Amino acid sequence: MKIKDGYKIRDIAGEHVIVSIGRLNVNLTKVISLNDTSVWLWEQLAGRDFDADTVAGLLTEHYEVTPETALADAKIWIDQLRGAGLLEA
Amino acid sequence: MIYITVAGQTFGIETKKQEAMLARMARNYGAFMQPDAPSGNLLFTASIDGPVALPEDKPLVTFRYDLTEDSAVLRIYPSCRILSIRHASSGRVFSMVCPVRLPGTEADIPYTFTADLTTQGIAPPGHILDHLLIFALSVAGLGRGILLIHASTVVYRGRAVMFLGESGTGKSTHSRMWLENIAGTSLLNDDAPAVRIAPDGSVTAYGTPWSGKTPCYRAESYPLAALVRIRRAPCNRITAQDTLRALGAVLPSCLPTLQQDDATLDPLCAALSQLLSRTPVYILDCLPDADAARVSCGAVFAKR
Repeated sequence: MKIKDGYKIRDIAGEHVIVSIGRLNVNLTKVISLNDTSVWLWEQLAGRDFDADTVAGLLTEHYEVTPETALADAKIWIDQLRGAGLLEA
Repeated sequence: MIYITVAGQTFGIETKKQEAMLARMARNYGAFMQPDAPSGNLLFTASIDGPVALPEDKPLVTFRYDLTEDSAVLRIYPSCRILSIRHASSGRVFSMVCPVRLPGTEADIPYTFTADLTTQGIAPPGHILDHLLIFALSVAGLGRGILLIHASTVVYRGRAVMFLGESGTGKSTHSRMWLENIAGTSLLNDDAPAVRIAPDGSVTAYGTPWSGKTPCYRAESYPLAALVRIRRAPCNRITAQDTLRALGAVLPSCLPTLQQDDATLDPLCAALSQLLSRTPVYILDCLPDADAARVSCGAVFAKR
């Protein structure tokens, strides 16, 4: 899977957010907030092909977590990005 | 040259058909026209006697949308962005060309736009001229902290409150509820007021020549007290929004034509970032009644 093109993390009023491209006749724009770990993962993975193991690998290298926890967290992270429509394939 | 000042910034319209344009513009631009060139730099000049030539390369982005019965298309090229509006009843197309600025261009150098507004026999319909000038001001104003917001705006106790919402949700109706039920309220603008974020971070609301169906063209400004997004509901309830929800509530009321590529979305988000760090944002679920006005006035002007 890959992070879709055209999404960019912006710093708005102290929050890391992703804003979907403006569409007409929407009542609220979807704004996705990322915490520091998510921002870091996003920056590592943008433009790359990856899977849950890639994400888990990054987490275990960078944070003191067991491989099992890292893989579980990686799957949750991927599900959340997918739910927000930010992943392709 | 016709000089017009909106949100503290003056732009110029250059045409050989000045008399015809002045006549077309008098109704809503009159209060904003200046007799002479300003002392400082213009925000932009628009030469409106054309011609307009589309670049030969393919646009990077093509964004189509409807303006009531007319249709509009924004084309973004590496060298420029062009907004074209097709007047449904006559078939004529009017375009505004905004060249992309080279990186490093000083913010106070005027933009130079071109348009083909006078080359088709008669001056363009007022609403098309308005839409093209709103676009031009929005593109040029991004570098100076100017945003146009789709909102109805009232003034109360010397401060402005903007009511945001999709067309038909009752922005104008809510303003009218304030005017009829809260003494000392006046209407500043009913469709497209401007906000300016000054270098010191202060936020000011401005009346503009663009007020939708309500002829309310006030060349005045007031500190902005709050942004309130209106939603229809079976009862009246107002809720303060945190930063993320505030952003989600305000962005849909900024020009969609500025949200199609990063070259304009980046400065738009930067301006919103400053705006939202100073200005409270609420969502008002409401009925079209007097109590709704009291609920929103009470929240925005509560003693803290």
